[in-house]
Amino acid sequence: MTGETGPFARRVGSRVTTTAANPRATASPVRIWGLRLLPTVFVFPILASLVTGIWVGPAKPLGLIAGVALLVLAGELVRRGLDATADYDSRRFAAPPPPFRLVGALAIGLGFFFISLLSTNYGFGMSLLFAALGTGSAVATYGLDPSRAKQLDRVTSERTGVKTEQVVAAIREAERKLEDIRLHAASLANRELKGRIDRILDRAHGVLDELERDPKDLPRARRFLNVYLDGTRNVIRDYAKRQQDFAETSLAQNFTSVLGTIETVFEQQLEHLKKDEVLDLEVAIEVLETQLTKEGVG
Amino acid sequence: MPGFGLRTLLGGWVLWLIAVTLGFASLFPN
Repeated sequence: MTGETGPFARRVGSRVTTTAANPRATASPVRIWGLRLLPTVFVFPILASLVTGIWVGPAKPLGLIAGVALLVLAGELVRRGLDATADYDSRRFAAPPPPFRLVGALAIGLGFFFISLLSTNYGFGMSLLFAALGTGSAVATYGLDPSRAKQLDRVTSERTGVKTEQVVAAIREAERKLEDIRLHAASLANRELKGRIDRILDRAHGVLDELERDPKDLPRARRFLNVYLDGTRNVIRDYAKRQQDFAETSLAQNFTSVLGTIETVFEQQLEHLKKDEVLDLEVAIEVLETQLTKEGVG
Repeated sequence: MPGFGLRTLLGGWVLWLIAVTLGFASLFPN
């Protein structure tokens, strides 16, 4: 989990950010540094070859620079591959990521090949061997990206009439909206409101997790999510825009209570989904609309 | 999973070994 803010931090006001800021996993950064630092080996050889290149010609520095560029590129590709795989692993449904790590491993081999062939006295055969060893050990160290799509099984899909792509699209869309909400919330000064939004985001992510786990309620829950996430986003955006004007006014209080309602409804929705039923949508939507009008914040 | 298994260490070691070998070979061609 990232971005966890404990009760103490909340009380003293240090960095009250969302606990649900980025619930999707990224790969551990430690392993990748072994690869990121690899090009530094060639810094001194490049400098030396630039000096001697004046007499011996440009092949040697060019080989080193091309090789180092490929190694840097490989580091970036492998990092992306690890991140993409962590994200893939954390999802119940996902398309396979592009083969970042395979391409990265090939870039390492090609980088070694250029350096060996153009900048050392090793011949073509040895250079090929270095390339193969480089690619091989990169694959051994960092692995390959998954190639299988994680889909709804056929039985569930047929029983519920929901397709994997619909689940993925609905979840992505909702996640985008949650990210929007998080960004708007970051500009709020009121800590109570922020705490409330944190909890709403937490619940909303909980709802998404439930839907991923059991997507049969998706068609109905999707409308709920749309109405509620759009509503929340609009309320927070409008409030953030004009917060200086009505700090300490009763309108600020109204916002807090609207967000309280939203929080409660998300909580209820989550409970309902866990019990395999969907909250009465019309009621939930009406509750929100009524309150928005009543509090004069819609 | 923060994998620092034998394969990871061995693969990383070979990568660095090749890099250092090539670095030296380009500095001292003979």
